[in-house]
Amino acid sequence: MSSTDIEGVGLPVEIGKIDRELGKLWEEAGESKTRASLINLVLYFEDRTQVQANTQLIADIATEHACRAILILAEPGTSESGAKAWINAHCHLAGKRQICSEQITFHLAGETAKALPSIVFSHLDSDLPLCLWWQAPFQRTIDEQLWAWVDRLVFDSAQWEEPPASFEIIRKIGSLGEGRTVLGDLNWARLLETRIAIAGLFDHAVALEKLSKLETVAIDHSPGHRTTALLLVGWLASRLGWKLQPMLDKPFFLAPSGTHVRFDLTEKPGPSISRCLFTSGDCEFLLKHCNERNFFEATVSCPGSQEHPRITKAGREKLADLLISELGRGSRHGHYRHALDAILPLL
Amino acid sequence: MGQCLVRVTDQVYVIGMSERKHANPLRGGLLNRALPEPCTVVIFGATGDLTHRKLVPALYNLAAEGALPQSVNVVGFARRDKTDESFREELGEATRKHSRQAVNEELWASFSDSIFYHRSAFDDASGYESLAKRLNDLDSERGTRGNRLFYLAAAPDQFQVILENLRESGLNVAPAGGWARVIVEKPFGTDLDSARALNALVEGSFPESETYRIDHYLGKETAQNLMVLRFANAIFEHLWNGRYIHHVQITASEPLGVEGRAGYYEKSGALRDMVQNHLLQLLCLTAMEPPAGLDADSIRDEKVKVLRSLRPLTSETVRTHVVRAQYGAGAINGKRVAAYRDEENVNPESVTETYVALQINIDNWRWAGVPFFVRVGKRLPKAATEIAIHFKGAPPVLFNAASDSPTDNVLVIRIQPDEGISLRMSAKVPGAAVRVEPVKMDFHYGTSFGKATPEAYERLLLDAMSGDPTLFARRDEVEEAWKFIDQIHSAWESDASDLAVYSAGSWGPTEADDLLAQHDATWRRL
Repeated sequence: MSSTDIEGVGLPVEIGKIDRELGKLWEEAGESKTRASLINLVLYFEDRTQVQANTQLIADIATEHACRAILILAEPGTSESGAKAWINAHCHLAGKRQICSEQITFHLAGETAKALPSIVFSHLDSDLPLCLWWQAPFQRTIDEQLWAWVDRLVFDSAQWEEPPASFEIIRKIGSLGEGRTVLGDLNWARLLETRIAIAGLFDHAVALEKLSKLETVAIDHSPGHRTTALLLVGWLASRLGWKLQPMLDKPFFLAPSGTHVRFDLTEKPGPSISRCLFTSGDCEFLLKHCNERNFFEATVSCPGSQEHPRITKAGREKLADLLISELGRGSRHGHYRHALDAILPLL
Repeated sequence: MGQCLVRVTDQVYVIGMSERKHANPLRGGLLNRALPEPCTVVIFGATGDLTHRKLVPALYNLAAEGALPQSVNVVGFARRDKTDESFREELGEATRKHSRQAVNEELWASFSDSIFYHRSAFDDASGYESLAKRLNDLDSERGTRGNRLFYLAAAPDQFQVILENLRESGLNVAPAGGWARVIVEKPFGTDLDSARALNALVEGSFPESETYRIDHYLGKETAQNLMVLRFANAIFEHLWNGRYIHHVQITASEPLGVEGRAGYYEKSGALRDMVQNHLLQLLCLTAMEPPAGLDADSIRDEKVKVLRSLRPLTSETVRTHVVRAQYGAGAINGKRVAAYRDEENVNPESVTETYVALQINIDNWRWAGVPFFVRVGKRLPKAATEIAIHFKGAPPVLFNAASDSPTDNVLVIRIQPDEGISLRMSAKVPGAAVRVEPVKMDFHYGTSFGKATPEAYERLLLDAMSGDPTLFARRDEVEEAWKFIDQIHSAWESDASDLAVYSAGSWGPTEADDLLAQHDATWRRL
């Protein structure tokens, strides 16, 4: 299957017969395969070249999160209208058993793209939570009925071309249905290990004293990950009580101690966050991504105290790993909104 | 420093510590559970099997998953001559062999930098003085803030000397702002008197709030899930009583024999080895009332109430309610195996039981009239630990009027292996005739949750480091359990004529079947 060839994604089926065809698929598999499902995982995207990559993503994710995956390729801009569907299964060995997740792929062209809510509603595995991963730009007009059904909305703010507008739409979606929908930004998930490693830099009592007196924060990030770096700064600001001083030439944060905390974001090729350097008085706290290895080296340098470089797990970069982490968390990201609030004017 | 229950989100609850003066504000909300504070884990008996097979692999896995702060040191305390380097090397080998996930060499190298070896005999006071100095040095070098977790992984007969020396050297008291805790491995005594003596000994060095008695069964996911199953699902709790439940079966079977542990097993037997701790804990989780909260003491209070409600046994009722047996020669998986008395280091006239089945009655409102049948045995056909709730049958009318097949609903909670939950119910067999057969709705953890389940020791070590004793046995729990077990032992001591023999590879003696037959029940076919 070429990267743009949707026909090879599975067994073509009539949309009205999907459940029957899935039933047949499992019947033929007999007892050698067990269908499992804990969530409905819907992926919405508008880029035809992503069909293969998304199918592979589902295969990777299904090893840890058994699901009914619904892939929806929508091409609302095409002149021809129509809907097609395919089914397939992703199986893996768990002990002696083959555990399988099923995937239904839809292609909605032209006007039929508007049928998205009905396509989603009619093919959900009943009683299971609905996780929707929205890979396309958010639209300003919100289908409230669709969004109100979503238990967890996943997105990657690093991919957004207009972060402020998109965050605004996200906030609106998050407030529907009495705020039932959990918002999961993969860009935030991308930072989890980085935040853990940074927190670890300040566990030592001597380092902890320096934390409230940080003076500079320097972060190296890869091209396209400025929002990732900003979210990291936002997290520090919200946890440490810094207030943004939006100076036109060089904004900085004001710490509760009155210290001016200056920050620099530098674009460098490599992982999304490759280096974080913090200074406080005569101490330096450095987190450095080890090249070609998925580790951070954490070093604390204070005069008179011994350095103990430590290796810790670095941030996840693969989308499948990020989604696995997000689905495994199962709770709201309380600090995400605070981090976002702290850096909104900088986006 | 107190504990508090923190509601993190709608779904995730963690038992956390109240805000400490010197808490790192960047740690808040990073993980779904409370992250332990930096600390040093001191393992007494560091060259033993438990350290190599379980403790260090568990600590490594926790570190690899980012569940530990960077400043966690491990100090092995033992008498053999080793250096830090040789100790790290042998632990590296053991971790590569026993870790549930593949060891990443770079992570291991970084983690093992925090492992140290302290050579001393357990009874050498100067060894504890030098340990104290070393721990202070580690505190200042590595920021462990005076937090110490002492793990008694040595033989039980060494506990006394270790605890006394910890007290004499002042190590039992944490430096200002820190904490000092102790983890005690089972067995917690061999009877009520010795358990009380051990508890008094521990209490002489560490307060109960800093004492963690480890029963690894409680660290297993399914054991933890029992409370969730009962108290997070509305449908079960209403049926969870004598009105709807006929009886409960708790089984722990294994095909293994004594496997070189004859010295220990000859003294303990199945009753002390398994029933006093693991199986009575499972019984408590099954039978307890809903706790007032999810904090450690609320839960343990309810468990103790169950133990206090166990109907006392007399010599007479021990004869009618308890079956003990020993395996004879037989075959396991097609291979001939020797009788217990022919195993190495076993007394040829041994009366140690390798199998126990007992009927336990809980005299409280909820469980009046519901027998709990508990069985445990070695050299049984397969390894399985489970709790089976047998509901009362539907009335013998309509579809059940002439049914020969079992129609009772059975809810099974499988603890190991293949952790999961299943429910047996009746269904119509497709066809023109009305034929009703039992079917099974089966939930397998491994199928639905692909992620490898953490080892029980990982969870328990993390809890002890975080100051959460929920999954550890409290002093009164241990003593109440011994009180019950001692009644059986005293009856047995006066007369060994009831010791039955079963063939290795069978499901135990027929006497155990009779125990259930009196109640119109049979053991589950596992």
